[in-house]
Amino acid sequence: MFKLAARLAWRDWRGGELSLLFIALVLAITSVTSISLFTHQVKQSMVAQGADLIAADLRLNSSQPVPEFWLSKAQDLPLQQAQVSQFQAMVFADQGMQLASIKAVSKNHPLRGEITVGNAAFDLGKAVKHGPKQGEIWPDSRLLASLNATLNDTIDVGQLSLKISQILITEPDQPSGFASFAPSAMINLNDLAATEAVQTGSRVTYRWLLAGPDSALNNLQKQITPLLTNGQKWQSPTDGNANMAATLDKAEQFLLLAGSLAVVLAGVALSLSARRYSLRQAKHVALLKCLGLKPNQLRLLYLSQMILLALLALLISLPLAWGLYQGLLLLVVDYIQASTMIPPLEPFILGAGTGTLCLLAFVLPPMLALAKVAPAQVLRQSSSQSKTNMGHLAIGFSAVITLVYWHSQSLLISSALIVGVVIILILLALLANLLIKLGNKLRPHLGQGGKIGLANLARRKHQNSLQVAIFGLALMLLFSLISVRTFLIDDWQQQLTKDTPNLFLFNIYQQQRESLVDSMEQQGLTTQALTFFPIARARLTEPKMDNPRGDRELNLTWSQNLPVGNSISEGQWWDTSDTDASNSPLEVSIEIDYAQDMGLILGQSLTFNVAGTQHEAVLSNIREVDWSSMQPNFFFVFSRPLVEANSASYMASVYIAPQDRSKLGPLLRQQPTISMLDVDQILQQVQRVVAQLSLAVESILVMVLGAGILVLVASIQASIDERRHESAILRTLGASKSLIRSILLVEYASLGFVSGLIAGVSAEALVAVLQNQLFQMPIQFHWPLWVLTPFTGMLIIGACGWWFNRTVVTAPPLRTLRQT
Amino acid sequence: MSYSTPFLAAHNVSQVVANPQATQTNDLHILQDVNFTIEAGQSVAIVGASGSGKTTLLGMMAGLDSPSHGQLFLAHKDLTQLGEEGRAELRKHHVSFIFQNFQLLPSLTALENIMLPLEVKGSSDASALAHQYLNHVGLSERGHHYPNQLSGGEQQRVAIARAFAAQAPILFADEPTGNLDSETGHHIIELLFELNQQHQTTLVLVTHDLQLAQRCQRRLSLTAGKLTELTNV
Repeated sequence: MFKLAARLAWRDWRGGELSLLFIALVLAITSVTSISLFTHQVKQSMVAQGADLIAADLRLNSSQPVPEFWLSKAQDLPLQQAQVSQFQAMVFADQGMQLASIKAVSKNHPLRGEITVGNAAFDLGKAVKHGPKQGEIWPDSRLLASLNATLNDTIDVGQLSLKISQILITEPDQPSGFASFAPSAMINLNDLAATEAVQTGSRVTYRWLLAGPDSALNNLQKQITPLLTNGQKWQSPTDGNANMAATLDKAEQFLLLAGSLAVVLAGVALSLSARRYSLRQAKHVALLKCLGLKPNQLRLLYLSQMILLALLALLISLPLAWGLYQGLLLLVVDYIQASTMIPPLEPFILGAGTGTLCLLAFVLPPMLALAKVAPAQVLRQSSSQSKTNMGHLAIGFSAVITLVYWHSQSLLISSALIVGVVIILILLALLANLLIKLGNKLRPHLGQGGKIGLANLARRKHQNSLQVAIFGLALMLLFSLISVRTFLIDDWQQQLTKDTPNLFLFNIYQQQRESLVDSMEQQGLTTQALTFFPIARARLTEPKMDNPRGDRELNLTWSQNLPVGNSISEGQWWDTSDTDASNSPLEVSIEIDYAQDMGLILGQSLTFNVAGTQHEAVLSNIREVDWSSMQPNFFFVFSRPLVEANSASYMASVYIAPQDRSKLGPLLRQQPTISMLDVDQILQQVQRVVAQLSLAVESILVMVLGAGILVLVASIQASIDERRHESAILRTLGASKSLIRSILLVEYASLGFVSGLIAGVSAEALVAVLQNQLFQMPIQFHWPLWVLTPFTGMLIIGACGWWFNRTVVTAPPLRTLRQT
Repeated sequence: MSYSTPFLAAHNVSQVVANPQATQTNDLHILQDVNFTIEAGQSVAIVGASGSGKTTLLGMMAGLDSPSHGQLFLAHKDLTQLGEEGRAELRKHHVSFIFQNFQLLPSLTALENIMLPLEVKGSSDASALAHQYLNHVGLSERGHHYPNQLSGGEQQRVAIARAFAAQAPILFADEPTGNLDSETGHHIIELLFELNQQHQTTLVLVTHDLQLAQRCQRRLSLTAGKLTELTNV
């Protein structure tokens, strides 16, 4: 039976009967596998970039030295380890002294990422793998500038004199917050004792860096975690940087969504192709039954054929997916850190499983049902009629739910997609029916081709409604994905415009503001975008909070205007004409997450401790803050100054172009009391990630577009036999080729118009849900989509219909009639 | 070999189908109390006007369909006692068909169409036998052509080769010239009877062509679902 199945399958394959089914299956497996491989790689790359930010795969931050036996536990596992001790100490040079943050690193540091060093302050630098040798010190540009020292000078840290062998430009575990403003330097951990800078009671931060396989890290973490004390906390690469984590999270959601859409589309394409194939096989089955094949033998025959098809599809798809994935990697080679490890097995299992499940759910039921075809059908002239089998639909639908959940591992994506698809399919079918009826009214005003085309549409009302639903579904998913891609990339790029601030200046007093601007102008630095924010630290004291977050000091500012990039979610911004009046009540605006965590409500009276003074303020509005922007953001904004103007401290943010970075040293010397936080490296890293993710998102989109086009083709092919037969009859009745062509064009263009119109509206609804629920972004409506999509649908479906039906026009009618 | 059951027979066979347009009282009686017995090696024509139930009767005799009432015998087996699997097994070894609309599989070449019943039977020399029968019907040059590359007459020759290559003892032919012009039809009939003579097959031929029916040993007439034996046509 297997041999017969193979022979028949080969003959069907050769005759082109199986090709669409096979292509749909190959596309399902290829797209799911390659998307999954790529998503996996992107995630790995993200984790690697995150690992760069903490210089390790896992880090323990501790306020006390790491016990020796923990270190030996790690030694027993296949792990690399390094240690860092960070403390503040006075650093002395011939021409000055400065309080600096000293980082003493062991010889393996960093385990991940690179240190860049240069020969002069604010140099572009070159990458090195390890920190300074014993007897050497690497001060950063700010420290070098404030000490007025140069390369090869000697500086003292505590009791130890160290030689400046390099200038520290960047380091992988550079702090990204505003907490560490002090200039810094790196020394060898073996020199730490000799400095005598760390004594009992000194405030030191200890970091234990680990790198190696996940299993070993998990094993160690499991053993150590119960032993952790207060002040000891694990940090993983994903905890590294809040704004990058948010960007990555959105990208991952997009990739999962795209992968799930590819699964749905491939499933629909397979289902349509299987339906057509089974319809065309009905006569074959009747004949085989006449020749004595039993129903069970037929089931076995088709099962064997499907197994063969699946094996062949897997054999082609898995290497194809691997090749496609490699191609995608080549495309993003500048952005993605290519993994050197063996490719993971999971994406291949997911792809193969998707293909098998698709085959079992979409293809096998109609194939096995063929065994029920009455053998007497061979004696009849009529062709098989397609009937929708609700059982098969239910199996297919269950499979889609399983596949989408398996792929996305997200209940939200799965349920939103499934419920959305069901509602939209029903709406599409109903609306299509209505619009086809409306089309009837247009008929009298059209030419001959238009009249027959619209009459055909009306005659096959139910079939066409289904086809519009399928076209509409495919178009809706594609339009949605394009919209999601567009708003995501726009959102990411808006965060990072070319002049996004990359330098933050602190400890600026009122009287220094003008001299800072003068100094910058003297150095030829642009001051146009220089913005000053008054800054103070505050703690909420009333009402008393159980939440430990309520006990922390947070940044505050005061402003007459709503800060750029913030939006009011509750209440109103204060009336700016009143804020100068010192007798008006003090108002405060609070960041939404903080307000929710603390259970604060509008109109509530709150007391803050600002530099030892209590201030009572009314909560007049709650703000949403975009933390992923690189702008200064504040938890509390007050309606008027809380500190005397002359004693207020300010922070400022500014963009420094790469060619101007060498001017920062002289600027610091002119303004020695101002602290500087350089976030250029973080910014560049975020920019790299955004570029990489944008490209990844676009590449995946192209793959899903392929799946969508296949659905369109499968849907067109599903009705092509009937159209071919009708066209042959029309041609024998004297219709010209051009008339047949115009009938087909009217029919498909109308189907495309209706599908596009409905798809545009549905896509808008789906995108709104996704924006709001999945991506936590404000809903935006895209009105041009409503106008554009009907015509896009008309163009795509019209072109596909015309192209795939061209044999309908050119095939000799006699041959067509003979074949049917 | 002696059998207690007839080789090919119908006992009080009726076929009733519900009229989809009306109530049960208006059921359609396609066959009514049909009785006949056919001996092995006989050639029998079933004649009647279009819609008289000829094709339905042929389908039932071959076990493709089941009657509403009555008994049918094929190769000494009571078809009404067999399930679908049993009837299929019987067809595999005892029955061949020739159809009015040829029923060649479009994705198979002429040669492969002839090989198909042999492959279903698991024959080891399907290709050689198929070539042999392709020669018999005069199409040795057209073996690799697909059905749509053959004329109607050529397609029916392939169908005849397929029927005889199966080497089944019973051949059912449903209007074998119905889709052909008279001259081609004539050639096809000559070929059919020649091969039937050679193979000593039991032939049951459905036709509305009385001249064609004359070539058979017996003629049964079906009118409004009732069967009568014609003795003098």
